[in-house]
Amino acid sequence: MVTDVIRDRARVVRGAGAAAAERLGAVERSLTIERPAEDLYRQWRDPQVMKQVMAHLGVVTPAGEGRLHWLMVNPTGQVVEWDTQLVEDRPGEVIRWATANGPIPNEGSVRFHAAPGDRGTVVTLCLRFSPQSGPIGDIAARLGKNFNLRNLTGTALRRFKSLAETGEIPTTHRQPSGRGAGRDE
Amino acid sequence: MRALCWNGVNDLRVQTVADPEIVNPHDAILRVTMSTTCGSDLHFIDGYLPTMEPGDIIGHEFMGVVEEVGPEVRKIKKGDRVVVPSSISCGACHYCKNQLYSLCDNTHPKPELQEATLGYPTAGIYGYTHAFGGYAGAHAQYVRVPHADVDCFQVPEGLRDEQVIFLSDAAPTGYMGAEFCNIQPGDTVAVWGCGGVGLMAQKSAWLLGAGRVIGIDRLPERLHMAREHAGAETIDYTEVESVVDVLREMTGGRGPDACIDAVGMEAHGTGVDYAYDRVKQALRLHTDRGTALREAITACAKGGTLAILGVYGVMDKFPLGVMMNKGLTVRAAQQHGQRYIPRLLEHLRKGELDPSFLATHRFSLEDAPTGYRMFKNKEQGCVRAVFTP
Repeated sequence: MVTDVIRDRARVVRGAGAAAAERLGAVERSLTIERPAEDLYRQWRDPQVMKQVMAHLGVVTPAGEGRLHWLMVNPTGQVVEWDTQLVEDRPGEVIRWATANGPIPNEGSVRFHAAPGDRGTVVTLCLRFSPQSGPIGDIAARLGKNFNLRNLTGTALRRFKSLAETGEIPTTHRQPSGRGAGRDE
Repeated sequence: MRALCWNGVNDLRVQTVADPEIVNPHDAILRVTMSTTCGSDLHFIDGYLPTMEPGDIIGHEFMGVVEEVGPEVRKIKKGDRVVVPSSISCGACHYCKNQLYSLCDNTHPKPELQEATLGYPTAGIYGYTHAFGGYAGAHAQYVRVPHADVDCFQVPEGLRDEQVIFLSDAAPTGYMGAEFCNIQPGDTVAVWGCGGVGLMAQKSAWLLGAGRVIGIDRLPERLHMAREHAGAETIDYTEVESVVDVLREMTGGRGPDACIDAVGMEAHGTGVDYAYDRVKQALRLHTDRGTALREAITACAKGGTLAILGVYGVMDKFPLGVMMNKGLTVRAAQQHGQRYIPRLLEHLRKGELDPSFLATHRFSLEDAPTGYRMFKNKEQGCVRAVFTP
């Protein structure tokens, strides 16, 4: 069900930058969701849905017509922010965005196409954090060493699927345990 | 509240922890009235199943009374007395719609942990490793049940907790194993293991039309239960030269039409294979002791069916060629409880399947570590220990 195509990873950079290119680059992953493409398109365009789907990356808030504000805190506690602007919007088919400003150039798209039989819709999410120009090592440093685009993309799709199919995202947040104060964060 | 926590290999403690709360809109909070030990718990208690963390609340076989429901819960309400299957299922995904509930796509909070090993995540399970979601378990005073309308089954009046508790896991697991066997009238079904799941598989095989049921174990009290409660013929494998030979003779040289493995990765045995497994498992070179499973594959009739209910990790020395050349059909799963519980409640109401005899020992939750010790060591004929908070 999940197909992973990792593209454009072969950007040649020296030293630490090479590992960064591996982790950033561009990632494309697909997941089948049991809902019509039109519904899924509409949900992806809803900033409230985006806020929940991307909560593992950071805080996403609406910032005007076709714009989203992204705020991420990297493992060293540094706040990283950027805005994205909608650059392509075809209802039921594709949504594409790119950074409008901020130190982290990135772009993404989500495409919807019918799955075979009654299996719903194949949703394909593509994220790219590699810059068109300039040193990639700088971006990698800002995002932090735990930033893994492949996992991030997969998790975003899983969260979107659960929200679309069930109305909630599975979690063990705040559950009791025999650790610390008796409750997990 | 009080809860039974895993703190390391063979280190279980009852601790004071926070009460669970409603987190998602389809959640319910249950006041647990009874929970029970399961053989699969022993695998992580003994340290063979990885991804446990100190402080994890364990327990996945339970029932209780609904205390509180989330804003989107429609059918279940406060005060309902319910039994809950071990796997958490959303009821909405492709797998749930096809009644493959333990394969649910939407209840694993950490799917990346399973994608690495299984390729795709399964349903979450209460109190059963982080590889299966890391949900807090039910050996506690209260437990949070996600997707309450899908996963809570109302208990009809007039049934005692001891009768209903095993409908959470042991009974649906055994019933599913028998259903996997596609039993034709007169078929012989052999079941390795006469613990809770094996005994339930034996009883279910009769309900599904078996002509003959054979139970295999080494513990006299469990073999006695198989004869008395499940109407099975029995083989004590420590008393015979070869279980495979005995089964062949018992079935006129054909072998059992279907074989059910209700043992899993910590099988006991007698031969060279067992010694090999035991040493490799002790050295953590592989996770499984597979004596029962290998024996079932060899004993099974040509063209027969093998149902695997036992829990395994990765096994070497697996007789794949035997399976292939004999044309066996292999079926396996974590139980799809939501599929079977309504049917089992009906069997229970009619008096056709009453699992209460499995509850050989009863403890308060405070004494749960003792209960697990007795269950693990099969002390005093312990088949299942049940806990009441």
